Amino acid sequence: MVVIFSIEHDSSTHKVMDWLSNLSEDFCIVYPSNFSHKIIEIIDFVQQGNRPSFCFRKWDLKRYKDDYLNTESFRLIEYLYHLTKDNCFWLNNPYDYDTNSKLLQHHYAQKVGLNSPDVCLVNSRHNLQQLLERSDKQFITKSLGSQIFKRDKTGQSLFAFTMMIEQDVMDRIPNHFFPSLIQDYIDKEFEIRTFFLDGEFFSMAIFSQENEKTKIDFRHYDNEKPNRCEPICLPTEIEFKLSDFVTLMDTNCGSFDLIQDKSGEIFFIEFNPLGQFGMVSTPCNYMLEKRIAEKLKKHSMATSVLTIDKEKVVYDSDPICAQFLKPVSTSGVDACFYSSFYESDYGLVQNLYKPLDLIG
Amino acid sequence: MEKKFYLYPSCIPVKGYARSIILDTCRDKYTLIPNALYSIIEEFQGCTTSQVVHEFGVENYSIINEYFDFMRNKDMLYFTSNGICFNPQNEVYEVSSLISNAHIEIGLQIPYKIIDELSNLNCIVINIKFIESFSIGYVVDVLKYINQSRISSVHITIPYSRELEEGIDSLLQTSVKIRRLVFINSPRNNEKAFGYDKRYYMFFLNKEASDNIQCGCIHPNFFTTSKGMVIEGQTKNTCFNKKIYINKDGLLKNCPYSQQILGDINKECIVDVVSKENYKFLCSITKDQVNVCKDCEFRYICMDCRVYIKDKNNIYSQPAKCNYNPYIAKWKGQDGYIPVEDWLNDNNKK
Repeated sequence: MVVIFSIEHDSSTHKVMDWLSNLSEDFCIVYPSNFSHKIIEIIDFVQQGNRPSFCFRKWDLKRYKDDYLNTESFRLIEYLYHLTKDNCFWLNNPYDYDTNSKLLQHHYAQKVGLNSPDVCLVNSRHNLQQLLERSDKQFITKSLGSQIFKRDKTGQSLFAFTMMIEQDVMDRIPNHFFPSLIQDYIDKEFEIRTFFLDGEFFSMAIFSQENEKTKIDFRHYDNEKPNRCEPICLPTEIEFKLSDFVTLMDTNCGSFDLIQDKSGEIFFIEFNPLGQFGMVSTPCNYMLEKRIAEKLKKHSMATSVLTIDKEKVVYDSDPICAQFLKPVSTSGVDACFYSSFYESDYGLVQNLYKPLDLIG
Repeated sequence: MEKKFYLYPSCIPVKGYARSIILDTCRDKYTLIPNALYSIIEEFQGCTTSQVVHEFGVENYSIINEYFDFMRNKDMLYFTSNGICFNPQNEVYEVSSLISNAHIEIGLQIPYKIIDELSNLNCIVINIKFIESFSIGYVVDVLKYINQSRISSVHITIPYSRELEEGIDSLLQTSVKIRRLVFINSPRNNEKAFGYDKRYYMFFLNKEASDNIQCGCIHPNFFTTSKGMVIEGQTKNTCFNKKIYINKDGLLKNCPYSQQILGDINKECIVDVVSKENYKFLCSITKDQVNVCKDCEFRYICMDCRVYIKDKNNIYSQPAKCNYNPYIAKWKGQDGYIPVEDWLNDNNKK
């Protein structure tokens, strides 16, 4: 018996399901939409002493309109995880949902001895300018770990991509801004995607062609000359370090983004525990979906079969406590008032400790 | 430092008798090359171009240079001074379906049992041939039943009727799985139209075109250079592997034109029939085993029909509808073409 947490439209999940069915292994898929229906029965099932294997493939913590339901649902998954983690196999775990801090990953990568492009944080144009002047390197900037997504007035979706810091960027940014991640730009020979599956590595190199045509119009190149994606083996010492990294991240599965530079050095860029692996599996014929299904089957030790009614029930009501809301009495004073008051007070205290002649 | 050259692993060189080919499985293209270049790739991969020139002598410099420019322009070579360890490709192509494609003939009974079984075997595409131009209601009932299964796409072939053509598009809006609809015996021929929301194609074929069996024809138009096809072709017969045909009486065969009946679905399950050795036999014949084909550079991108063959008594004989002679690298109609048989006779005499 295998229990998979995923979202409805994840094609990799569907392929893993097909393989589980091919291997005659029972499985149960939990989506946000059938969560209310299935989760209690799964908890009962493991409390009866069954030891299914679990796969936390994907989840959507923004599914419910009311944020408290997102948190409440996570509390249930988290409970199931702690209830079973000592006895059952989990491929990825619920905490993998939020491990995409690039700063933290950079820190861990350095800790295990991986090359990772230097990072620094800036919040003013002045600091950034100094950084650029002091070095002859090129820099990029990207988000600290969230997907930055906005819509403009016409409804067009806008994303924040990784971008180069160039003069026109410098000209357009204000003097002060939210702390931003600045990272050394690596002149790449090729990119590498490595899928780590519970101790095994599956790597793919992406060769983007340096072709005059592509510089002018990359759309042409996308169709006529898609990037070559080829299976490669990483040096063993790099695999050891990546393995240490995964241990530090407290998980057992995920996708690495790496870069090999012109001198042959491999750099760590990012790790996505719940990343897509179809784009590595298919071009390299690695059969990752099958390997995942086999792994889940191997570790499953359920003695009975979990039967859940196939009846489609729509669970559209809140938990009971949220259906009986009562008004709350407040002091009527805006909390922000206090904090701003405190902040200015703190400034004064600091001034007291400075030498008198400096205050002027 | 001069860079070493590697052929990308997605570019697969295949040697033929008269010439070779590079199958670019990443871009679904193929490139014909001389056998000399095939040997250079096989022997010198991981060397520098000057090492190749050194081996063949300066007098061949311009030819070798031309070879490398040719491959570089086709973007098949990777040059590096660092060296790279390509991972040998997994040589088995696996799909989770026990049966991936099924061709089913339907009469007046909806074959619920067959559809259920195919769904459980993870069948991907089901090709339905209605033996008569049934009513729209009946066609929709069949589609509705398939919609609830795990089969992901449906192709339909049905004899033309006015009622069907006028009404079917609006009724098919409810089926998300239909990809192709072919009207046979239609008054119009070779017409192509989009169905609702561009979800599927409609084809119209007249009586003559409908009776003309395209199956087993060998032509460059039918070549496929996809990764799946090429890898599957190393160990399996790409035309029969994981594919079945079931006629309206429930008799199962490898393909509609095969004479051999393998089982009766009214008495046994599909999975039992396809586990039999006589089903698996045709699926296991590879191009490397077939006479003449094994010397042909196109062997991994060409469908291999084992039903229409030149010698009925030899299952390993060449496809009957093949008009290519790999020994002289010429298609029928090209200058200097001689049939394979004549060429073999001449050569045996010599």
